[in-house]
Formats: sequence, structure tokens, C-alpha cells
Amino acid sequence: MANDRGQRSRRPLYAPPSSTRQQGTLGYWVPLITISTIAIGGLAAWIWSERSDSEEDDRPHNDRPPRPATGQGGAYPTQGAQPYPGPGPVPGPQQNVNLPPHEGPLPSQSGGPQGMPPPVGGEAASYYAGRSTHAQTEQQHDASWYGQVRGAIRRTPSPQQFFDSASKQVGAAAAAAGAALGSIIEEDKDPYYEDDTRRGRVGEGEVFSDHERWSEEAEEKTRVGAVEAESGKRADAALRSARDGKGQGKSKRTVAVVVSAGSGNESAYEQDSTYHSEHAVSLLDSHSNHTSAG
Amino acid sequence: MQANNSQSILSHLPAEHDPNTTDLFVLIHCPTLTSLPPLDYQPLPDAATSVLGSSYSQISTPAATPGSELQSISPRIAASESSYPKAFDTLYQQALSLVSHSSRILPFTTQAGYVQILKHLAPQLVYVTEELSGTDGESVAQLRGWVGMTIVVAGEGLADTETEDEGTRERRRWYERSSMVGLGKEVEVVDAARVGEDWGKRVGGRE
Repeated sequence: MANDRGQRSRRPLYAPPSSTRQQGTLGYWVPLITISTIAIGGLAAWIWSERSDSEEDDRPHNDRPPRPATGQGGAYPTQGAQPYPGPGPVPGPQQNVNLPPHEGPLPSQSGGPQGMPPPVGGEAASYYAGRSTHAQTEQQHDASWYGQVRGAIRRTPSPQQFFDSASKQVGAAAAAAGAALGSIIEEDKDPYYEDDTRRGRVGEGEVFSDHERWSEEAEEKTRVGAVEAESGKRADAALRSARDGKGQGKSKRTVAVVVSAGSGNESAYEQDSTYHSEHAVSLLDSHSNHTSAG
Repeated sequence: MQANNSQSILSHLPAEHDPNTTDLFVLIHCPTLTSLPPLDYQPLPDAATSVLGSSYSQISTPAATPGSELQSISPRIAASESSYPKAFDTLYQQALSLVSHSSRILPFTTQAGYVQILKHLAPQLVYVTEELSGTDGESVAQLRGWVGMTIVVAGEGLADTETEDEGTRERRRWYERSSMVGLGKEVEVVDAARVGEDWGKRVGGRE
């Protein structure tokens, strides 16, 4: 007993008994595991809460926020929310895990078959009013960390989007390059082009000369018209004077002689050569002599 | 040569006709005419061929012009010498010797330009040189009903060896087969050498 005592006394008083050493190791690991489990669980719960907070907008029927207490469904102030969660909270998150994060308001349509009783009576108004408030709170939740992450993920283009945008950019780049190339080619072609235009201008010049020729012809026509109009005027004047003379006495006989000074070429030829005109003069002289003699 | 042939129709016409009984108009076809010559235009008989044209022609004018009542009156416009073709000048000068006034000389520039003038004048007698009768005599045909009598002066270009004879014959053939040509019809064909006789018969009143 003394030995026991001695052993006991030898043993420091603060030291735990050897039998409790095992308990100590147990006491060391068990709280550690417990605490860490709790911490992990808490963290997971927080994460899950955060996640379900952002998910609840997608599936508002699963874990709806508490309705305003003084809703129109005053007949069921608390019953509407609590006794009818149905299978709500438990399968809700599991479904949420399996479902893609963003489902949109479409699953809310399946709220009825999932066990949620259709809102009865005046409850519907507050129900949908609550939905609308959730839609408002979504933007606020978007400001949270998970929302940011999700936004970043959402903003990250999918491969298809990336390919689309890349192809668009490639197309735009090709178009720009084509335009630049076209402009370069045009610039390169500019001399040719100018040449073409010059040639075209020459052609145009031909056309223009045609046009000029045409206008010359038109001018000539008008000039011809002027000549003939003047001739007609003279004829008119002569005719009037003849009529005036006709009024005096016996009628005059109007005789017209139409002669030709030749076509343009021949007249030009005549202009060039002096022989014919001199010859003509000599003929004229002889003729006049003849007529005067005769 | 063309001037000679064209000249012949006027030169064959006797200068003496009674201006009291006959109003003579001379229509001159000149395609290159740009404007009507002034009424006092006096073509120079052989001017514009020499550098001394104006001074020389002024001296030679009385000698070169045949006896006509108008030649000595109007002054000469030296500047207008070269503005008209030679053939036109020659014809104009010849016409001046025939007509009573220079306003009776009516130039025209197109082949059928004389038709309108003749329709306006409505002469009793028209002498048309053959080369202005139009293709198949359509210009002469247009005169029907507007003029009293149309005489196509044919054979002017007989001596003309420059133009192809085939074409001349082709052109001449229209009055040989035309129904409007004939004795007692509106159109008669007179040889250029006999225009003087014809003129004497018709204009001189010896019909």
C-alpha cells in the first residue's frame, strides 16, 4: 500500500494516471476529431447555406424563405410554411446538387408535383409576391462571393461560345484583312485603275468625242436649220415683195432653180484646187460672152 | 469638175428673162455652209487663191462679173472671201447674174432642204438638178402638189468620170421608171444641154 502509495506519491500528482493515458490519447484525438468535424461541418453548412441561398431562387419551393407573417393567407399564418415543407428540405438540396446550378424559373412550375400543395386561395398572391421579392434578392446575392464566382464561371465562355466568338473574331479579322487587302489591292490597282479610267476617259473621250460629234451634228443641224430658216425668211420676204408686186399688175411667174454646190468632200476638194474654179470662170466668161453676143 | 457640172445648169440658163414676169429663185445646195451669206455678199470669181486676193479682186471685179444689173452696186466684203466654198461662190456669183436681188438666192445645206423652201415659195416651175432629186426621186415626189412643174435636169454628171458610172446610172434610173415622170405630168426630165431651150420655151413664153 505504501508502495502503492509511494508509486502514487512518486507519480506526480498532476500527471494523469496511466490508465487515463489511454483515455488521454483518446481524449486527445476524440475532441480533435470532434472539433474538426464540427468545424468542417460548420464550414460545410455555411458553404451549403451560401449555396442554397443562391440556389433557392432557382428552386424557391424547396426552401422558401419565411413568408411575411401578415400575409393575405391570414387563415394559415404559420401552417402554410411549416407543416407543408413536405419532402422539401431534405430532397431539395440533393436535387440541387445533381441539377445544374442555373435552372431558371422553370422548375418552379413543377412545384406542385414535388409535393408542394398548390397555393390555396389568397396564398397565391403572397406566394408569387414572395417569388418576385426573391427575384429581387437574387441580384443582392449575386454580390456575394459565391455569386461572384458563379458569375465569373457564367461569364467564362464555354468552349462553344469561345469557338463562336473566336470564329466571329476570326471572321471579323478576315473581313478586316480582306478589306485592308482590298484597299491595298485597290491602291495597287490605282495606277491601273487610273489607267483604266484614263483609258475609260479615252473611251469616254471617244464617247465624248462621239457626243461632241453628235453635238456638232446637232449644232450643224441647228446651224443648218438656221441657214434654212434664214433662207426661208428671205424667201418669205421675196415672196411678200413678189405678192406686193403681184398686186400691182400681172402675175409673175415664180421659177426656182435648185442647184448643188456639191457635197462637203467635193466642195473641200474644190476649195483645195484652183483649177476648176478658174476653169469655171473661163466657162462663165465664155458663156456670158455667148449670151451677151446671142 | 463638180463646179463645172453644177455650174452648167445655171450657165445654161439664159440670162435674159423678163424680171417683170418671172420671179427667179436660185436655191444652192451647200453642205458646208455655216451661215447665210449677207445680202450684199459678192463672191470673188477667182479670189482667195492668191495672197493678193482682195486687192486683185477689187480691180478685176468689173471684168470678171458678167453683165448683170447688180454687180456694180454692192461693195465688196473682203473678209468673207474664204468663208464659203469655191463652188458655192461660183454658183452664187452665177445666180447673182440671174436673179433680180440677192435675197432670191437661197442657200440650203441638206439634200432635201430645198423641199421646204420650195413648198413655201410654191413656184410654178422648178428646175432641180438630178443629184438633188433624192433617192428614187423622193424629194421631187415631195414637191408634188406644191409646185406647178418640176423639171429634173439630168445628164449633168455625164462628163463626171470621177464618180462611178454604175452608181450614176442607178441613180438616174429612177425617173426612167417613175410613174410621175412623163409628158404632161408633173415631173419632166430635161437633159442639161437642153436646159436653155427648155428655159426659153417655158420661161420665155415660147411654149
